[in-house]
Amino acid sequence: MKDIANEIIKNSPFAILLPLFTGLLLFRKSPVSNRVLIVHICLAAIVNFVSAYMWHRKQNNLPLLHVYTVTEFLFLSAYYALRWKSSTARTLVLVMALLFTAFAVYNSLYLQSIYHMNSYARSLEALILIGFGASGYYLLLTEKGEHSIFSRSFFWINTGYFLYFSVSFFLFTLSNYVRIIEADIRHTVWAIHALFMIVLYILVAIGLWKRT
Amino acid sequence: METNVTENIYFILVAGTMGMFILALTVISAIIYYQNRRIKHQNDLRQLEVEHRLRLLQNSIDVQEKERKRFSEDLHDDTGAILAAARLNLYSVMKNSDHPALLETKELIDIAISGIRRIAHDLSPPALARFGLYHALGDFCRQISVAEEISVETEIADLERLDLDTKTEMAVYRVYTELINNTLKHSACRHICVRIHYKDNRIEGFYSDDGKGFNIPENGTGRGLGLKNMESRISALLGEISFSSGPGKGMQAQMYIPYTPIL
Repeated sequence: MKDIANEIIKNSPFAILLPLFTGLLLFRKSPVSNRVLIVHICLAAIVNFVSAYMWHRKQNNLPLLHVYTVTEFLFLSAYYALRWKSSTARTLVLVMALLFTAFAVYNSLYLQSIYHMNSYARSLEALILIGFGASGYYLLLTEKGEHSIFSRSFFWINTGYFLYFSVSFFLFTLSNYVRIIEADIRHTVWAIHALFMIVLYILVAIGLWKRT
Repeated sequence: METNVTENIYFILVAGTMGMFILALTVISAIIYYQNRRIKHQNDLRQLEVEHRLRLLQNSIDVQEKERKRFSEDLHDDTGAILAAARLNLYSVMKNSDHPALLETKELIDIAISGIRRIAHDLSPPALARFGLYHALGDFCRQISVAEEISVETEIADLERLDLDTKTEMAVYRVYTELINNTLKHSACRHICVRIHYKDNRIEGFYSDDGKGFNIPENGTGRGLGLKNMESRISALLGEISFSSGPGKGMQAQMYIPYTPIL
């Protein structure tokens, strides 16, 4: 069990290559919203490998996570804002993005050290993105279309993030306390997180591949 | 004390994550289920609409055919009979008089009788009802070939053994007669080709002439009544017909009608 968990944690950073290559391959043919996501994936891939390298060298890579949290939220907000046609919804998403950025910066400067998990910002991000995901489903249901939901790019991408942030919410919230639980269990918990990250990247890759 | 806190954190983490996972899966499943049901409902509605439109089309064609048949019978039985009686009377008058106007009148009555017979036959071809499509269309092509001095190449295969239903026979017959009449009216052609086969559970038809051709409008609205009627007749049988032509290129039509023979 421990070996499987280890393997999942060790190999999960490579899962990002799937949406990365799919996105780069189809970048020109993709709609603007997907292009925003592809740029985000490129940045995420860089952060991913730098943090893996730092972890390998036994350096604290958590400062990267503080920066990544903000960029991830901004890119995903832009992605969702582009999906909405209503200007009110777009404005709301952008206002939330600005408020969240302000909070995340404040959190990193005054509340949680950059050498610790930014659990407040991370869990708030997860909560807001779960909301965006749910509203994305509302969008899918209200859009008129004859095609199956499985042929829609937005369905796969939205499902990926909705599932990932739903599953990770408690982990993000309690991430600073996870350190005190038993090493084996801690390992399993992070392996579950890594597993859902792999699922996320597979779903995003499928979403980027779909054209409708 | 510390073990207790650890256990609590572990419990909250596992239970919370599991709960969120189940919740997310439920939401996703509900969305998929609802969306699939909506698409199925939309498809069912569309299918019903198509079936309804086809039924209306078939009904209007049936009514048209019934009306043609009634009109043909009235023309043949009433007007034709009156003219025949008038001719008989005229014969008896002609026995006692040799006035030249009588002979002229007899010739006019003969022309009227043959004209009425021709119109009645065109409206409801008796050969189609009696002998089927194979013979009726063959006869029609032969008559055209003789009357118009146009070579008509006819290849009607496999239809005799099929025992086609009346609607299909009527539709194919009407489409071919309409095509031939159009050719005779507008194309100034010398050769017509009529081919019908039965293959892979469908009736496949081909028609061509070597006339002057014309530009067929791309969209449905610019098409003439004749082309639209042919399309309606074939689509009422769930088939398809396509036309191709161009100035100096003659005219070609291809059609297919799905047909499963009754064994």
